[in-house]
Amino acid sequence: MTMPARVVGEEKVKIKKSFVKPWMGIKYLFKKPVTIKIPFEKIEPAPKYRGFHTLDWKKCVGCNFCGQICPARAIEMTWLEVDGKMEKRPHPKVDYGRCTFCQFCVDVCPTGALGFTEAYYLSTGGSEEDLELFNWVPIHPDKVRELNEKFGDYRFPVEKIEKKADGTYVYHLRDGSTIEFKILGYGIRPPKKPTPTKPTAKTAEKKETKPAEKKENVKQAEKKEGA
Amino acid sequence: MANLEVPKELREEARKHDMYLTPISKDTYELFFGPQHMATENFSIILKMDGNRIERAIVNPGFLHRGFEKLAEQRPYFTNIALILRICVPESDVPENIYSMAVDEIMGWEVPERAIWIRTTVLEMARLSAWMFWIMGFGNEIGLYTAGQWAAAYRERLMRLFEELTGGRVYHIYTVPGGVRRDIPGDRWLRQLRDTVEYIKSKLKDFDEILFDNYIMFERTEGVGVMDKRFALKHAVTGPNLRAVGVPYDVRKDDPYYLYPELDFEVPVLKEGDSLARVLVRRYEIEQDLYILEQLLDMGPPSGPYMVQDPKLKNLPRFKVPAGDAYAHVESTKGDFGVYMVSNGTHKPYRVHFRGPSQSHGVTVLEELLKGARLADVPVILKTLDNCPPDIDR
Amino acid sequence: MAVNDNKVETVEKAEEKKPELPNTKEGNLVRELLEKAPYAEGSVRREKRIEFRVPAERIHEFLELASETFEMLMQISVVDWLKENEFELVYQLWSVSESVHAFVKTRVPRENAKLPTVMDIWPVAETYEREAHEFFGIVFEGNPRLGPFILEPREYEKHPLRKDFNTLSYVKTIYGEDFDRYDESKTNYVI
Repeated sequence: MTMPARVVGEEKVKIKKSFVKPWMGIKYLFKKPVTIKIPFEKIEPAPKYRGFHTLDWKKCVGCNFCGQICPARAIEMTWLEVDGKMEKRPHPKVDYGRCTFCQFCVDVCPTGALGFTEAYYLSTGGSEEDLELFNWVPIHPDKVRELNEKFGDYRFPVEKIEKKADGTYVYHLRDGSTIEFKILGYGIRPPKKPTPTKPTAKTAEKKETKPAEKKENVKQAEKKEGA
Repeated sequence: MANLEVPKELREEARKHDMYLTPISKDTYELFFGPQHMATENFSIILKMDGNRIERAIVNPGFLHRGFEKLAEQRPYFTNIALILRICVPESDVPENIYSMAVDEIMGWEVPERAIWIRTTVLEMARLSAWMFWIMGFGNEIGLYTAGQWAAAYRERLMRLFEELTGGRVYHIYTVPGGVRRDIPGDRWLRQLRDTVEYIKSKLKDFDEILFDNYIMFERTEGVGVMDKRFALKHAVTGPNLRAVGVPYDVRKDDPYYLYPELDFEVPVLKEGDSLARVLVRRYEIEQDLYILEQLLDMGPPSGPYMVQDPKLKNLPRFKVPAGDAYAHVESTKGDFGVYMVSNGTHKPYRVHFRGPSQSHGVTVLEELLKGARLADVPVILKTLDNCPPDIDR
Repeated sequence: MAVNDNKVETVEKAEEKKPELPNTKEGNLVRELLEKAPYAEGSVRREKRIEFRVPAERIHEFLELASETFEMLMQISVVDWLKENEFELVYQLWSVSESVHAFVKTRVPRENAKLPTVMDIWPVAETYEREAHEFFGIVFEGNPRLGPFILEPREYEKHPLRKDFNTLSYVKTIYGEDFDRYDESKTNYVI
């Protein structure tokens, strides 16, 4: 059924001006204000509000769909080394200086590794060290949820990102725990040569032998897939 | 002739410091209006003033040019949704929807009924929140700030609803080619929407009292910025501005899309063509929007999927659209908002060209209407035309 | 639904279809206009959408005829077909009385693209032509206000919406190399 266009003219649209009516607004003086008194009152973001990302590192297959769909090119694939082992696939690193929070990356993720939480609050000072916070590899969703339940203020789960000279990153979470890993390189293809790791003596020796072999394996596997 | 006598010392001071007040002859000077001025939002007008009267106005846009059309050519189809909606800030759903409509047309998709219902509702909600935004701006420009504050508070309710539905407050990034991105959160959301509609409806009377019936509003707008029917058509003025000169053109009725053919609403038309007529037409349309939303809620969302089922959607970054072109347009609060899209069969659009309503009524029309107006009328004319500079710049 | 064929095919089809335009409001509109302007080709896309192809020399003449039924010029869209070395101009017309949208398409070569202005028919064309001139470098003869409009004066002669304009390299020349944040992996990323 199609409704016909009903055109109405002057008789309904026009109104009369009044000198008295504007004073009726005074009644609002006796009403409760709608202003929310931040920080004494809180506003909760809606459930499934598009906030910061989360990433299940185990599920991520490094397909770079997120990097391809990203309208702001905020995502770059990063090769990580955790506890001396290189992750088999690259993981997305999100730059919140660019991110538009459209969450298309979450939509396209084929394994559901990338997700998001309602946490949206991140403000820092202007120093180089502080700005590191805006460029992170998202952490596990359970950890972010846990932190948010503990503090309940929807802030960024990481308090400080410590960057060491050899490419090691230490995430100091808000509850005092840390996540440590090393960034080996960027891009879809694995880094050519693992930069020789020279951190504290004992672990480094172990690292140098094992990961090097593994990386070669990965490279070969990649080549096979590519061919 | 000149109502405003610029003191001699001031004029000399201005000449010395090369200030904005550049006297050309005795009473003629150049005045840069905007982009800092609230009414202009994001563009400036160079006014050649004769005392208090405007001799000539030159619109100077470009402060908001972000090259969307070029960038859209370099990004996949779905990605562009997050980009092009920034063209229209108060109702960001309009660019999303026309873009999706154009892609749907080229793809030959039948969008599911549930998605159509959601899209119509979202568009109407966007219209309503844009009206609130407009009341805020218009009230502020004519000095009735109270109405503006109220409108902002009511808009917040709509933004909460949007937040729950889409996950974003201002930029929703919700409508995508083939449907929408999320389902309705549940019956609770529908009830909340109905409550909000009822609430805003009950508050319209207060807006009437303080703003629309107010004699100050009448004094400020009556007989200001008059255009006639022929002029408006030749200048492709659309939307409420065209309806205020007596042409009942509404895209929702004349080129119906989505559920609008089934919806019953009135198209208000006035003949005067001055600022007052434009305001009254808009006032009436707010009522009609609430009425449309009520009808939509009575209808209820049909069951079914909210996204088209197509194997092509498995790989979104490489989603390809067959070669072809399409033009889609919807009725926004500012007028007829359209997009012309050309695809050459790849995963990126070959050309996306937007037609913002302010492109036609924000440059040539504005320059014509400002001729001979008083300086104090500039914000009134700007706001009653509902000029949106990002439409021009893009 | 839209007819999504290649350009060449539609042209051929339009020629074949000429005698058999559908007996609808749209078909009659096309027929009437083609009787007055036999040099043009016209077809019906779908309900409320019709299409014309007009040679560039007679575009002004045609649009003057069309303006009797199509009161509003909604937009002038330019498409840069780099391979064919042509600009396609699409005059988007809307008829308020008939509720029909018309595409009037014409093609001009990319080098020294020149067209007569349609400001005398629709004054609003001034804005659209200024935009098309700035972004594509098409000269509309008779439009007095062609020049820097939206872009900065230093960007005026660049014509950024042409297909051979490289956004990334332009940004690099203006903002320097450090604007590109992907020095480690230069894979597939533009701005």
